[in-house]
Amino acid sequence: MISVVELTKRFSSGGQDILAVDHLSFSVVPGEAYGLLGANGAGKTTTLRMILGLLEPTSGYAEVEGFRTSESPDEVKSRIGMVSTSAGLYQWLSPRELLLFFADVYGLDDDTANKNLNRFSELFDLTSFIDRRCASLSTGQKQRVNLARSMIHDPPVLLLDEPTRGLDVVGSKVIFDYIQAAKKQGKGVIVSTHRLDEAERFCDRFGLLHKGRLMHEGTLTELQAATGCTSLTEMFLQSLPLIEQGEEAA
Amino acid sequence: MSDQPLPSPPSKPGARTEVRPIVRLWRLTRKELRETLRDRRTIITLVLMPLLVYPLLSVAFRQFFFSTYSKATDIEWRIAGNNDETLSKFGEQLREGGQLIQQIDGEEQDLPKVLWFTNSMLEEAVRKGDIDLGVRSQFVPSPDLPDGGQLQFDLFYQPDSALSRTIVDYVERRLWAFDQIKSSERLRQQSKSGLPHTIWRRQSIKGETGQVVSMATLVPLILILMTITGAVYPAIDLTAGERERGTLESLMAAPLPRLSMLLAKYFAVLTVALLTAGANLAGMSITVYSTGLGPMLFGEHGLSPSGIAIILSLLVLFAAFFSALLLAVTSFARSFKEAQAYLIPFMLLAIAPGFLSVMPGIELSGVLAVVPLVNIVLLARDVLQGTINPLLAGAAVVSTALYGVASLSLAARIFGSDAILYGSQASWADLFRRPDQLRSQPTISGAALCAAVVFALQNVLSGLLALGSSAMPLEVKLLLSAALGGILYLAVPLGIARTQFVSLRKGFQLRLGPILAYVGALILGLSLWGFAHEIVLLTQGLAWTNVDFKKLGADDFFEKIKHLSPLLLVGTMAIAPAVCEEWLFRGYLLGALRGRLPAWAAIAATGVLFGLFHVFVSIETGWVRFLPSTLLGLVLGWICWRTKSVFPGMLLHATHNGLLVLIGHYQEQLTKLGIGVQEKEHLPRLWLVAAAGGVAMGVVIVWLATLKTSKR
Repeated sequence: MISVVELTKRFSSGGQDILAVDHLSFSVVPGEAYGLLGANGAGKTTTLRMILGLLEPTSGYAEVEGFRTSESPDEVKSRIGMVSTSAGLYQWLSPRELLLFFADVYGLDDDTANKNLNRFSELFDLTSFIDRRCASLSTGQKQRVNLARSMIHDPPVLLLDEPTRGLDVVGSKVIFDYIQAAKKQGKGVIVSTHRLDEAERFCDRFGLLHKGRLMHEGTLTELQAATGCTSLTEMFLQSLPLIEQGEEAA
Repeated sequence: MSDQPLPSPPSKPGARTEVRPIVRLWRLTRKELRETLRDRRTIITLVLMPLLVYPLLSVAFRQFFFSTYSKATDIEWRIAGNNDETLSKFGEQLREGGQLIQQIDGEEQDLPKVLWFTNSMLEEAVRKGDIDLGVRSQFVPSPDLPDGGQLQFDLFYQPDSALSRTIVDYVERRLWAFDQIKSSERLRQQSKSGLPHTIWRRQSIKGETGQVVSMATLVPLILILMTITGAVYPAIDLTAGERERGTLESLMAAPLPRLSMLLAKYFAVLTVALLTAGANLAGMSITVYSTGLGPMLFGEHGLSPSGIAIILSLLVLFAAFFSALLLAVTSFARSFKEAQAYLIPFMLLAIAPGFLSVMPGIELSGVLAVVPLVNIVLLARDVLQGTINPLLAGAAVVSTALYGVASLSLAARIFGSDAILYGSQASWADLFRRPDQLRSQPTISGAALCAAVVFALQNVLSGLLALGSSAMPLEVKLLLSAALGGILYLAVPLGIARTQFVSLRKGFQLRLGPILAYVGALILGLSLWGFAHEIVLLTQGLAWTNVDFKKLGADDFFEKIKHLSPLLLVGTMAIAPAVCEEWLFRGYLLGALRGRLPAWAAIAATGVLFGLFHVFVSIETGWVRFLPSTLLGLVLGWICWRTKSVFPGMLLHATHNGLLVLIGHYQEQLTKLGIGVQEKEHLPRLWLVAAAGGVAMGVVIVWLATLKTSKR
């Protein structure tokens, strides 16, 4: 469903060459949630942006349902719902207007758009402020609208970049439940988060990223067997000194 | 959050309803407008500005104006009478009337300094501005009056001149006062005569120079300020503002063409710019007329409906240009602050040409007609003064449209790119970055930029060539002109295509194409010239194609080409233009539109552009070449579309031009053989029937030759 092959991204900044993602390869099958884990600056967000086609890879490629991002960007974009930490809302539109606008942009007819609007506004509890201007919403409300926006076209692939940021415990639970339901529906999900405890609960496989490189990959059981650690947090903390040592030796 | 059931299984992945591009554009524009017009800052610029600023400005202006008026008494008033007797009687009545005014108003603080003249040509003197008021008297017989009649004064003044109007008002008030004095005297003497004691009438004379003209020179500057004011804020907000708020990422994540997003933003900015300018104009008009400044600024009758229509049309032109340019500039910015930093020098640069219109001696010429912004500033001034050359106006409008399209196309390249979205790299460099993969087709942005650059350079270089080559022999001129065409039409698209990594063979449609199509092209090339000749003759009677070829030295030209080598003529006037023009118009421009526009639209667009280029390449011949060139462009476009190759078109074009050149060269010999073609005579009917047969045959052959290729 999702294939990432040797994906690499270099940035030039102030005359320096920064390797943000380093020959990253992994795949996600339908009905699977893949946790892309790592500290800040590990390259998680850059990877998700390259899969969606918002960033052009320096080398390598990503495919979604057989469509390569570089060759069929619109086909890829129409199949992905992306929740991003940096995504904002149109301040002068109401959530209803905003959601219907994006439904329109993704080519949904009016009936389907309204049906999805009602479903998602109930699911994410938007009904009480659906006609208020987005500028007047709280951080949590905005994040919920953002989630609904990314899912309004009911895409087969979800890319979730820190989806629970700004949400309280109840709000976070709805996201987890939604991911579980999406998996059952055969959707492919990639979740990028640094909240490793959360990821353990709903991800089927994990990729541990550090400085753009994939350090470990597998199911929780596989990773436990490989590292001898019981939790993702332990594994991550344990792998950090090894990585640093390896870099120094090199 | 609720515990509602989760959404049902997803619809078929990727299933979308197809939306027509125009509908999608409208929906995007509607969203942009909704977002922009609800923003209080836009409303402040749009509504509060005209409501507050103009009344304030008018107060200041009035203060200035009337302080100038009071000072007007320092200026010497030049009053002339048709003879000494008139001046004597007129002066006497003014003095007596003035005494009554003083009794009513009190002592006058500043008495005007009047210079008295006698002049028998009063109307002429007023028109030229030599005097401010002309007074002619004539004796009107009236048996009821003691003197058997009385003097009537005709007061000649310039309604467009504030000073002239001030003087006539001043004079009238005193004549009225004089009449009041005399009436009172008569009542005291119990006279029953109801006749007035002094009579006068105003005679307005339109001056050669006056206030209306100077307003015309200020209008372009006002238009610049109005349209920029309206467009700046939405342009920043819809580009850099979106990026800063994070909404641009959501938009870029949607399956939408960048050009559609940018066009929607363009229409939103244009709408706000027009609304702002409209509100400004309305606010200004209401203020001007309600404060009594209207007649002073626009004359007694105000602005005519045609004047208002002209100003509104110019407003659209200015707003369309600035909206495109501002969006292009702000598309490069990653933040509001960065956009503002870009726009400050831009706005200063934009205002500077506005002052050109008030500078004497600067005329809308061939070169200035293609200089961005300067051209529309001078166009606005000349249109309002009624001194516009329609052809230069056309050049200014066409070049401005091309610059606007080129700006938007360039902006679409950079808008929403990595660099702008995430600030990953230097954004300006991205514009010139060569793509990694070879392109099989020129980009729309490349085509728009190419058309704008070639159009501007062509006007400038052909103007320079005309200036520098007046003393040159014709053969040198022809060679220079062919070389110039080569540089412009070949090098500019080639350079842009290289920058954008466009495949030469596919991008310029350099395929061989079906051989049979060349036969059809040759037949068409041999047949079409007759219709071109007829179109020129048929349209010559019309005002817009009325050209005095004799004055342009056409006879001299045709005489000279008889003595030049036919090879040189065919090489420079047929083969070189055919190769260069087909390379640009059908190869590059039509290639860029292929697959992006329906066939008819792409062919029509390049055909009309081809016609326009031929008009402006020799601006002195006017629109006479527009129709035949456009029709030829349509045929050439159709052949290229069918054959997917530029070469059959090159053959047609060279044959068509070559035949016309050779007919001119061998005119005398052909006339002797009885088959000569006279420039101003229609072709024999039989010839036209044969030509029509040739055209039909050529079309059928090309069509048959391309049946297979066009299906592919």
